Amino acid sequence: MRAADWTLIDGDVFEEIEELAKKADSLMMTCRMKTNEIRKDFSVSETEKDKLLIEDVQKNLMEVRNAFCEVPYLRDIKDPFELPVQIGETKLRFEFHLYDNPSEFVTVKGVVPKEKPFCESWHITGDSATFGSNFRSGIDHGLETAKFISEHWYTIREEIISEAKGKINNDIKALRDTIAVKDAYLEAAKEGEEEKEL
Amino acid sequence: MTDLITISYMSEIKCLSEARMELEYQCDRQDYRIGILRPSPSAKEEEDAQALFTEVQNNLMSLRDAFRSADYLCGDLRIPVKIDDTELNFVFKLQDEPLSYVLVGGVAPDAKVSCSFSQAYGRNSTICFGEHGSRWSLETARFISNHWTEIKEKILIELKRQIEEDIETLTGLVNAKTEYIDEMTKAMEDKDL
Repeated sequence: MRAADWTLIDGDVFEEIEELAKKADSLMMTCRMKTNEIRKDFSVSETEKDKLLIEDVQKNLMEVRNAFCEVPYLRDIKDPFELPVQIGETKLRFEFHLYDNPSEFVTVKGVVPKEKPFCESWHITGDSATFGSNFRSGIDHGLETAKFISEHWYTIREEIISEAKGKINNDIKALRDTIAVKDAYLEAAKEGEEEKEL
Repeated sequence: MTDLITISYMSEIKCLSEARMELEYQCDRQDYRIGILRPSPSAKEEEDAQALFTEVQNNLMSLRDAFRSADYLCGDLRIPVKIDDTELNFVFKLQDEPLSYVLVGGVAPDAKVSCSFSQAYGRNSTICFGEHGSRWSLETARFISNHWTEIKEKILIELKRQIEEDIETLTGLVNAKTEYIDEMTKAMEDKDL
């Protein structure tokens, strides 16, 4: 591990952050070791039923992705269209990659608490599973998340769509605010011009 | 096959999207009108703007460099910061050296009127500092500069909160994996017996 160089910036919270980052890093290492132990000692393979379940989740997610792609404004967004969904204690973040057709996929980040033994690809934003043409098949990556999505699909879909609406509504609000500010500026500029003429 | 619920939801989203695009068009028209009214910046104003931009860029990149020095922090570090009515989202790109930059999304109130230096609405308000930095960010750069101490503190507090949340989740993961290993070991031992 590289040593954190917090001297690059000053402030009181840095030491705390450094300690926390070390603790998180050490926990992450332990987590990886445990995962390797699980893989080595108890090899678990996907059943035919698991494969069908993953395919089903994939189909559902890609259907929503394709529906988003039909909306011109969303289709033009280059960054992933991120939509957080919370079901009970489980916080997931769906990232719909809408821009590049050749790499069409949906990434799901987060951790499904009751299925934690299989979560493997941890990083700061949580475990992630990718569905679509880049789908990383396998029990370590997607199966447990797929099971959770499958069990809660109707609620998740509703949340995804309502979150998407909320995001666009926020954009609309921001645009309206911006237009009001610009209008006021233009009005003031117009009055200024009129006064000058007088 | 797309069911009726999805079709109905998606038609709402399409309507919203059209409304958004119409507003964006209005904004562009206003920008054009403001552009005509606004005097071109003087050489001195240009120089000041460049100095301000460089100052903000250096501050943000120093934070980014510090974050990059910790192995644990990797990928995109997303930090929302709220100052009064202004909500900014800082995205520190920490992965590859060629991608060394910090994105700032959101709208600084002062930036809303500016046309020639910022596109200050919706997703287009994302501003990039670093190698890909653009000049279309003066008003937001000014906002960040004016509130830098507060913004830096909020970034660090939010980062601390995020790591603490990670620690909680990671602790849960380690415990769950340990429990699973114990259960599986016991089951195998029982089978052997």
